Amino acid sequence: MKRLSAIIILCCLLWSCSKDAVDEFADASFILLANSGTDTSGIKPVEYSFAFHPGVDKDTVPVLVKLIGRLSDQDREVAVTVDEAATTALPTDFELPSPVLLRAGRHVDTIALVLYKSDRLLTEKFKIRLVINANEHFQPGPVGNRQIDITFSDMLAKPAWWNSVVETNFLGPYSDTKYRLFIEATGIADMTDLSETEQRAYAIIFRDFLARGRENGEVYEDENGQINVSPNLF
Amino acid sequence: MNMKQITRYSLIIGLMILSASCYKDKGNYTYEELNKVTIVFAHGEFLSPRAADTLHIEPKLIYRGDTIMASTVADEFNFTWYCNNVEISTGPVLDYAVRDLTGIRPYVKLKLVNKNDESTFLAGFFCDIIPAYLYGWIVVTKKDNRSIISFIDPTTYEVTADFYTTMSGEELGPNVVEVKEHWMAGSGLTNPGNVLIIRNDAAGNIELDGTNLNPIYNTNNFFLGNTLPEDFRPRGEFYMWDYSMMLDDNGNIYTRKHVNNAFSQSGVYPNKPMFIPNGVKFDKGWSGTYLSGQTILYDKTKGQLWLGSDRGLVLPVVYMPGPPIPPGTTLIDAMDKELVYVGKLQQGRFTSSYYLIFFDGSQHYVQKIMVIDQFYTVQAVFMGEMPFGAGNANAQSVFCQLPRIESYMFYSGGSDNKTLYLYEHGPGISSEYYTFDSPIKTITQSQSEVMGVQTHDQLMVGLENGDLYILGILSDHITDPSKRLIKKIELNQGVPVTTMYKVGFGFTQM
Repeated sequence: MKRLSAIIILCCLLWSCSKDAVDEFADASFILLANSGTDTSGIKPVEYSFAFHPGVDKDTVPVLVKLIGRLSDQDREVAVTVDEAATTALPTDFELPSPVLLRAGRHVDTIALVLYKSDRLLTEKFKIRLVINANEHFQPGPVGNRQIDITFSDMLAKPAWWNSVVETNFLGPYSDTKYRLFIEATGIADMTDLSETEQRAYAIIFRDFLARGRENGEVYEDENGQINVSPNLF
Repeated sequence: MNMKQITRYSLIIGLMILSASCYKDKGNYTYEELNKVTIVFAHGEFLSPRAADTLHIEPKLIYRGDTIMASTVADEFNFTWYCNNVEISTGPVLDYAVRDLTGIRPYVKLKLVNKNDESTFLAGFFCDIIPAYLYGWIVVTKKDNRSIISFIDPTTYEVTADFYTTMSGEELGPNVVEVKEHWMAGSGLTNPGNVLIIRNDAAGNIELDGTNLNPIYNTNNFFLGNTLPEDFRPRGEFYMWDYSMMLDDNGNIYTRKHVNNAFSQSGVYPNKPMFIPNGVKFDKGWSGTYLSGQTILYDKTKGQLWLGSDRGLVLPVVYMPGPPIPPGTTLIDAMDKELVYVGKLQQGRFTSSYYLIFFDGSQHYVQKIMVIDQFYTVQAVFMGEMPFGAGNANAQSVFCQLPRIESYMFYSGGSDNKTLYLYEHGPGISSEYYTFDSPIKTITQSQSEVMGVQTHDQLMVGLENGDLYILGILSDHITDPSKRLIKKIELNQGVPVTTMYKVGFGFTQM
């Protein structure tokens, strides 16, 4: 009996050594929206403001799509649609390329969503919701990566870096108008990770921009009166 | 034995021991007189040799009531010298290269052992070594489209030619326009100043370590975002306590606040030009004295004098309101002549007086002012103006005002600009000081301690043929022309462009 048991176990072990043919993705390929080429966590909404890009009338927001499945040597269409119920932007505010393609040999590609600036954006934010749908090439990926909201405007809000130190030492009180001029003068909108000496240098550039403009007859005012940098800026 | 007996015997034994201790010592030992030796170093407990020197130390010994040289008793003693407790020599006289001393502040010690009785005596001194390049002349010449920087020892006149290329393996390029020394206000006065090389090209300025002359910074790396302004080529850079200013080839000014004024470079320059009202551009700038916190700027187009202040401001200089400026004076806010030179005066710690040299194409004028920075306005006290150099100063003249000896200014002139003149401001007279065989290109004063006072005792005159002359300018040199020439140096590194005397520690600027 003992001998029989040993033979049965040995046979089982030998059976387990037979090669298992792996089909990596079966026949389905999945497409999903991604934050970056390597980040496939739930998609994050995008916020864009023309106020950070002075002089720009239209701009392109890149939206990444990522493949889970086999690469192809053919361009394949991705079914991306605008969810009209959740979209507040007008069709004239943006342009979605058609067709949206995952190009041959790529596992990540970019949807070039074009946004157009208009006066309406100065006072209101608008939203576009893009949704991935199934088609003959792809199944939609995880639920958290099937739709993305792009909110855009030409509006500003006081950034976190414009804190009391920046206000006291460099830029003075915040206003949207001042922030807009600051961006125009310096070409930057974000001083979050800058050192104090770099913040000071940008503030000096802004100070001189105001002075140079005033010498040329420009008037810079906001709700606080004349726009100036902090009197402590030297 | 009972307890009583034990006590009794113990007392008897104790009394016997006590009695024995009273036994009289007859004192019949053999004593030998031990002679104390005091080691005396002529320089005391501190010595400040130059790094290139060789120590030659022969101590004196106070021995048996006499003061004798150590070498005279070499048979009686063993001499061992130590540096930071490591033996470096034996023998009564120490001959040792300073550069071989080890440690940050070497302590040199002599151990003296009397061969007869093994008695040992010690004495030592600290060495505060003066770095090889702490003091001396720095000369920038141009040859074969190369800027060449050389160091000249002020004592031996030994030349270390082309040291930048030798040390860094890089070229300075053809466009060095100025070399200057600057100090770090917050780093303490015992720190040496660094050397700044101004290059009128896009490669930017170079800063050299003041101790070893190694390159340590390129000031191009101190612009915002590491992005240079458009079409940027430095023409000048000026260091004050808390702010630096950069002047570029387009007449623009960039100013930065030092993040930490103990560092030789800190803070970033904006990469866009500073706004100066009415489109003012600057042709040239001159540093004020170390502690003045002033930079003098010259707007040639509008004929105005400006001040770069140590608060990052650039402001026009106007005369102090009060009694009128005499008619015919060259007005600093409306110059009708070209400002060709500014000589700062070191009258005390926070001095701000200057001699301004004007040239109208045929005649030079010297005006003395004191600049008073009133934060948002800058005013100048007018102290007088005189014409000078008639018939000898010319368009090629170069000038050298002695900062500490206010009444003396040297300038070049005469036939082919080959003659050095001494101008005395007080009496307003010029006199020939020395005539050379080649046109004069640069004049620089030294600064040394003479009788405990920082003053100027030598001039270096750089000639077009590449020769350098060291001239004495103390009273005996001035009164006796035959004593004026101290040294002629055939540098052979091209035409002098800019020269300076490196004075070293910050306290020399007091």
